[in-house]
Amino acid sequence: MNPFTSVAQLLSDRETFVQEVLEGKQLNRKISSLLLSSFTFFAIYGLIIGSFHSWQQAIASSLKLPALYLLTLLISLPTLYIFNALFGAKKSLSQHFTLVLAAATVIAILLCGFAPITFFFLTTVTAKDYSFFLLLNVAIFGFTGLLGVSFLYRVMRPVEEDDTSQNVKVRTTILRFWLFLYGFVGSQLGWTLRPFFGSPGQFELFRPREGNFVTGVWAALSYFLSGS
Amino acid sequence: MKTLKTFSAQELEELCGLEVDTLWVGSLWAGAYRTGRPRPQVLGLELLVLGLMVVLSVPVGLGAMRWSPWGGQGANLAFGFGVVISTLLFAIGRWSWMGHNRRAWRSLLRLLEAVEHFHQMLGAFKWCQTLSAFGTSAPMGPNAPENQTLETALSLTRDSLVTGLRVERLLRDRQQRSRSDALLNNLDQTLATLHSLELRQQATEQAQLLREALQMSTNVREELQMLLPTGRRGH
Repeated sequence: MNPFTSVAQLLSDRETFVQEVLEGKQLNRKISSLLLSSFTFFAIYGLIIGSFHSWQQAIASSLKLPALYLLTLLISLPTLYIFNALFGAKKSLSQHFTLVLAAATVIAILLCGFAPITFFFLTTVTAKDYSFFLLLNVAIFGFTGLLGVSFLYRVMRPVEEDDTSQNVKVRTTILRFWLFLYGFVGSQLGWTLRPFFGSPGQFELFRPREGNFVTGVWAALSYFLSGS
Repeated sequence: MKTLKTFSAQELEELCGLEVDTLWVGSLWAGAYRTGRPRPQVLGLELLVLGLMVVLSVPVGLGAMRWSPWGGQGANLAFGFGVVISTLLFAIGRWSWMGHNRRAWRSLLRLLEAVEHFHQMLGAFKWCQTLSAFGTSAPMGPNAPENQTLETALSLTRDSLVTGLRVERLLRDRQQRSRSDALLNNLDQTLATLHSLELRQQATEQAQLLREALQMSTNVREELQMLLPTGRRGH
């Protein structure tokens, strides 16, 4: 098995990929391929952003970044599946998992697309520009996340052909709610697993648990704008 | 004459009742690696799987950190300990299960190897056909009758592989013993036909390919005999 087979199909022939998932064709192979490739791409990007600080941080981030995305997915998946099943969705748990994993893989590929830009800034800024590097990456993560989520929305959106319009409406609302939940869980897990970049100073595996994602971004933004 | 074709992944999946990849059968997480795969490829995959296991163990580490009585460095140690223990348990569980599957699916793995050998033989046959077409003006050249015999032999071999995979699945699922008996009778007939073809063509250039086809079908029969309960073996 080439771990990147499904990624190639996802990029070049998305309709067939989604159709095969909906028909339940070779789901094990797709899940394996998507898991391994998303893990690899996230690990590569984690390695780059971690190397802003030190080699220890690079190794830690290469594991933390895949953990952030894949665990968020695993934590949020049961909610989506159970609520969808309750309102008439016929897709199995494996099919849900494959589609959500495909969205995570899209994010991973997009992040890898940004890797040369991140690497360029990594080599041209100094440790003092930590806030700039942090905000640059928050923007990249936000942008790639939005694209990944819109991909998921397009492939998961229920259609009226196979169900009543009432159920379809409810499931569309569930999907929107779930996407919000996915982002919420992800930001909190990201906050728990931080640092991913490592602020100047000694390497630390985890920071003390205080505040949350929103307060952290606000603090970085204030620091960047005020310059103090 | 049926058109000779290779086994597609989907066809194999239908015959075995399991997903068949080039490297594994069942699934990468709880299936079995196929025999004779290149080691670097398997090792590379296993490294990635191990990395994934570490990632999936992070919640255990976070839990250990959350409830550890120590702060600072001690909490980090608790995290590391949780992750390592959990990864080890995951890995040992998975490897044991894969080892169990490998033993339980021994015949299936051998049959899949035979399928691969069949694909090679088919490739060689098609290559010979192409060469013979280049050498003469007629589409199949002067060896047309021999080609016909080979095509029949390969078609019979394919049938015996299909039968083998079906019987293996029936016996694995412990269902429809009578159906597996009927399939085995078909396989015996196929073997007899292949024998007679081989005897007739012993003097020709194609005899080697025919012998291989016969050998493959005999191997399939022997493999299935080993799977059968003692009473049915002498058939």
